[in-house]
Amino acid sequence: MTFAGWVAVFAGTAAAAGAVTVAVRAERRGARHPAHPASQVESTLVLPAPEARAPQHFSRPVSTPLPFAAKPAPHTTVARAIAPVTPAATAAPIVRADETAVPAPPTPAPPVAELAPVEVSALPRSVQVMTVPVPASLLESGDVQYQVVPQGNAQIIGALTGTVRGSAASQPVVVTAALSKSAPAGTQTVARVEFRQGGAVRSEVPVRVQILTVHSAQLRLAQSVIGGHPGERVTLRYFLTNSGNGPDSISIRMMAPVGWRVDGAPTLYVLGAGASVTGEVGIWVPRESGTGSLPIAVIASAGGRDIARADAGFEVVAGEVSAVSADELQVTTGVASVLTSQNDAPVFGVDVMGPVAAGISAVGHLVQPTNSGTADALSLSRVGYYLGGTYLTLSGAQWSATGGATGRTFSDVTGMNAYGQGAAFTLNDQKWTADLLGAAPAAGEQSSNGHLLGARVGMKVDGGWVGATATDLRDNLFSARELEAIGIGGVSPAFSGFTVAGELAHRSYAGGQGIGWSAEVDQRSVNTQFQIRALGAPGGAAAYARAQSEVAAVATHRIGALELDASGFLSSDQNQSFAKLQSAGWSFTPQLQVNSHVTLNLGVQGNSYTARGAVGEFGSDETSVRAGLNFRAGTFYALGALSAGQVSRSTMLPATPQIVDAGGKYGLQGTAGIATDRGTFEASLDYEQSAQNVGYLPHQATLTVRADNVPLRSGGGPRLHAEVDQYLWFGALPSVTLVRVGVVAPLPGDLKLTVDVQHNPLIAGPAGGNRWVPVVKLERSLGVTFSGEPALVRGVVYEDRNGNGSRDPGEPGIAGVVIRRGNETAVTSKNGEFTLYQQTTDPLRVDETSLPFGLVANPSGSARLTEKGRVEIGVWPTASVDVRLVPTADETGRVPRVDLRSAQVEAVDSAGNSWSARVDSTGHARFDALPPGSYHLEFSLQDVREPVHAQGAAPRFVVLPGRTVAPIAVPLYPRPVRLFDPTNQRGRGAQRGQGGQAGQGGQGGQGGGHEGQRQGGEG
Amino acid sequence: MRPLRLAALVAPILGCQTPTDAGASKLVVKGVWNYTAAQTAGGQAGLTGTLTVSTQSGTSFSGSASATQTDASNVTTQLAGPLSGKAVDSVTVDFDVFFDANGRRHVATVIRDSMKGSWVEDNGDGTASGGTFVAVRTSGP
Repeated sequence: MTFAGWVAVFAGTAAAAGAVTVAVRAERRGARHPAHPASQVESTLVLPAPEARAPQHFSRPVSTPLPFAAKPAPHTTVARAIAPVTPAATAAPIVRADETAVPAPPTPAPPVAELAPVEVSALPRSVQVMTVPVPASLLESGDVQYQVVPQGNAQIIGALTGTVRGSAASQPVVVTAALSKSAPAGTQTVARVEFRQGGAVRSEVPVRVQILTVHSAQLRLAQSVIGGHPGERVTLRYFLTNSGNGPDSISIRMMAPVGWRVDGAPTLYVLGAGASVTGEVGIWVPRESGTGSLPIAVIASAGGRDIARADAGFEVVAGEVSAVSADELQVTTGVASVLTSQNDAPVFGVDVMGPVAAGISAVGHLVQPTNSGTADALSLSRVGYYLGGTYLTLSGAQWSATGGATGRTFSDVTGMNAYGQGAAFTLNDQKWTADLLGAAPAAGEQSSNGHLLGARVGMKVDGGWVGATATDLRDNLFSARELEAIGIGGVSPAFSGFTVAGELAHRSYAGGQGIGWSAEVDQRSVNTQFQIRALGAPGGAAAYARAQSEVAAVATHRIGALELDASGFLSSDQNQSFAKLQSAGWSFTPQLQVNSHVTLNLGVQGNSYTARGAVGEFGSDETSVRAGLNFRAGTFYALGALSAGQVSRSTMLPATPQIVDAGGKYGLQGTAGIATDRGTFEASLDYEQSAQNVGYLPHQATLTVRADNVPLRSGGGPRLHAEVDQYLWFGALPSVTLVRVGVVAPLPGDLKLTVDVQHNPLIAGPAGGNRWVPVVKLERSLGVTFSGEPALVRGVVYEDRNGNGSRDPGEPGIAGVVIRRGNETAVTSKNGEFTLYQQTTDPLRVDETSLPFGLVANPSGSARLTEKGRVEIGVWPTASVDVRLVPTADETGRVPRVDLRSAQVEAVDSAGNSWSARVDSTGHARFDALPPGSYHLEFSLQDVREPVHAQGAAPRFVVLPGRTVAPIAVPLYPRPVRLFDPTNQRGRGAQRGQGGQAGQGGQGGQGGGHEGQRQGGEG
Repeated sequence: MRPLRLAALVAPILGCQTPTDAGASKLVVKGVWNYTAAQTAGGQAGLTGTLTVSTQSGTSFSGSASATQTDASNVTTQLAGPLSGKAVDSVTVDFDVFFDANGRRHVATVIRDSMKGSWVEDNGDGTASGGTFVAVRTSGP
């Protein structure tokens, strides 16, 4: 039965009992209350009678405050009798010892039997319908009168009194309680049902509702756009409020791009209902991060599920944080040497990064050994010097060009992994994209005959992309590869979370030709990600494809704290190494976040391959299960996992029967560590046991201890990296211990020394064995400014605390603000400074969403140009404004006793923009950050139980930059209620038409007699 | 019952006739091998290094491997780890090199001091990498 139906039933019952009813008409503005679309709710409700609670007058109905639940509640539950009584022995178990079935003498009054309570569980903002059986012992004695006596804060709806005939089959008493949305968690007695006979209360039943805990939170970020440079740590502030109905433990975690480090999350807050806290998360942008906008999110969870999420964009802007100014080209020169007798010839290196002209920046790398014949490439790579990888890239806002070691992956069907020595160019403007490559095959010190030529041109269309590709690729670097391809393809705009991509290409390769195709469907929503892709590429890996055919599907679905991941993969190829190479795999890996500290991982997976090479055919089939636990608390983390599987390996040589080895494989992994500003320290153990011939040695274990980024002295001195790995094979092989120790130390004169020493017996040759192999690198960074002044615009963003439009002493610069002009983006430095390079007539603007909380852009003000040619952009501080709603006596002297937590206050500026604030139980509301301007207040009081209203003109106030606003007190008065006779239909109709006047005392006459009306206070 | 009895009778005889037992003991792979491999499936790369078979007991052997891998995008990686395997018959070896947790399985024909064959690595996600390799023994057992 719907809520309206229940109301009708109760209304009928009440009318039969002669109760007085009140017509309630409530008009709501949908725009202000999206949860309740614009509608008119008209209900006839029974009024409870406070005086009737006195036993001697229980049948006399009088008026009481308007019922709260005049609007449909989202949760309506019917609870059948839960009282632990049966019809046969209804009250017997708890009737007091002196009560009997025989009617008690009138004097003294019979004792009142308190029966077992009726109790149901319910959510706030719900209507509970409970049935209370009439004690059978009373029915045996005749008619029983009952009275429902409301208690507590819940609203009791419907008839409060009535009579149950003793002769008829007993009907239970129906008690309907409407719970407010702010009902606190816990058990609450909402009513007491008194049963009477002979004018005396004979027994009573408490009616209780166990109000369930509602986990709810409001989470917002100080900025919705955050800017930072590669290598920089950026702080993000957030504001968390427990908007649930009881104290709660709310955990905060951060979703950052893969590979980014975060400190300050996850973390846990224990907050009372309505309490708020401000927190910070540190986000470390990796030095190798590319530029662009990336999504990040802060997520609050409680009760095992996510309850709030705040998303933001992170704008990574080029320019590494360093001692060298961002508008200078950073040139780092260095020399390195492997300090062994064979390989100590020095190797020189040069790295460049930064602007070289207006709007053009450069990144380059050159390593040149003085004796290439003896250079130890392996050891040099430990200090970042890679032989043969020389390149220089110049890039503008929409293009980049690389000379030297370069390459491209055009697409699955037109050529992948084409790398060599040559040139490449990329264009990506608002309309067109292009990729060009011309190179000779080469990798490191190796080169081969052939060529790598390709062009891909595309056009962006309505959020999608279409393009064409032509390639001519041929090399014999690692194996012979050849492809000539012409293809067309496209990516659809996203629709309903779906993206579809596909490509067709004619492929000509060494062994023939054919049509290659690829298709991909991608679907993303908040909790679900799904991707399926398929590929047909004649020629396979020998023709610059991943395989000849491939089908892969990946799906992720999140249900509260549970994340389900599943994948499947099937691939087949044929090339000069394998007459057949097929692989397949599947996995299902649920992950449950038990709480903010613990995550449980489970996994089932299977992998197999079959390879037919020159020697014969061999294959493997492995199935395993895995269970793991991750724990994180503060800076401490630990994870452990157990795995077990079955492996089957086959070998079939020519003219011999197939040999199959099968057996079990078991593993144990554990890691524990602590990550602090003073370094990361970690220890891990990995043990594996397998049957003979199905994998590893029968037993093996690896024990690792490492320390990373440990400052050797405070204040930014040398930092230590060290790692020790011990491999144990339990007698099958001698154990091996690997040691690596490194120090990076800044030296005077912008010099930096890197020392790395390694002892690795597993490495054969001069770079390893039973010797210590040290490598030393000394480098220096210089800032080089190219001709004149490359920067076109230099400026600063500062806090204009007095709002005068110019920067005065004591007005600080603002860090991390995103500045945009045309296609160029800059992020302010720690002192608020920024630089722009591009020549454009587009206006310069501050991305207001990147301003820290409490600051807003000056609406009238554009940037101010100083005499020195610098641009100064002042942003205004906002003000917090306190409003206090004060229940005040009306002319009758009655002071409303209301819980104002359901009220809402809005501040509306002269342009009609509104800011809202919740009111606490004491009537206090705070606007945390109102921009400068003129405001008036409006009040939303529809959820306040007792009708109250504000009188007089709407309170007005002005916020000035840097000024505080005096607290504003607003008196709230009880609202008069007009009663009418429901039998007088004429009068009822008249009442409808005049409801607004009656209910609001003439406030606008909008027909909104109920307190659901939003009140402007205009009177 | 009859088929089971027959199987029990025949199995030991067949077992003695497997190629593994028949001639594997003749194949000695202990020693140091210069190793060159190409990855032709699941990406392109080249490896050069050393296989050191330090222990051989019957058909089983173990040791270590060390190699420098250069991939198509010019990234040089130092790889090192243990190896273990068996002689399948008098000319064929089947062994794993554990450069990482997923072993690279090598199956090759050995003729005197020369080894030539194919390798495959199950990447653990349904994909497989593979290629060819040759090894030449530079120092004997």
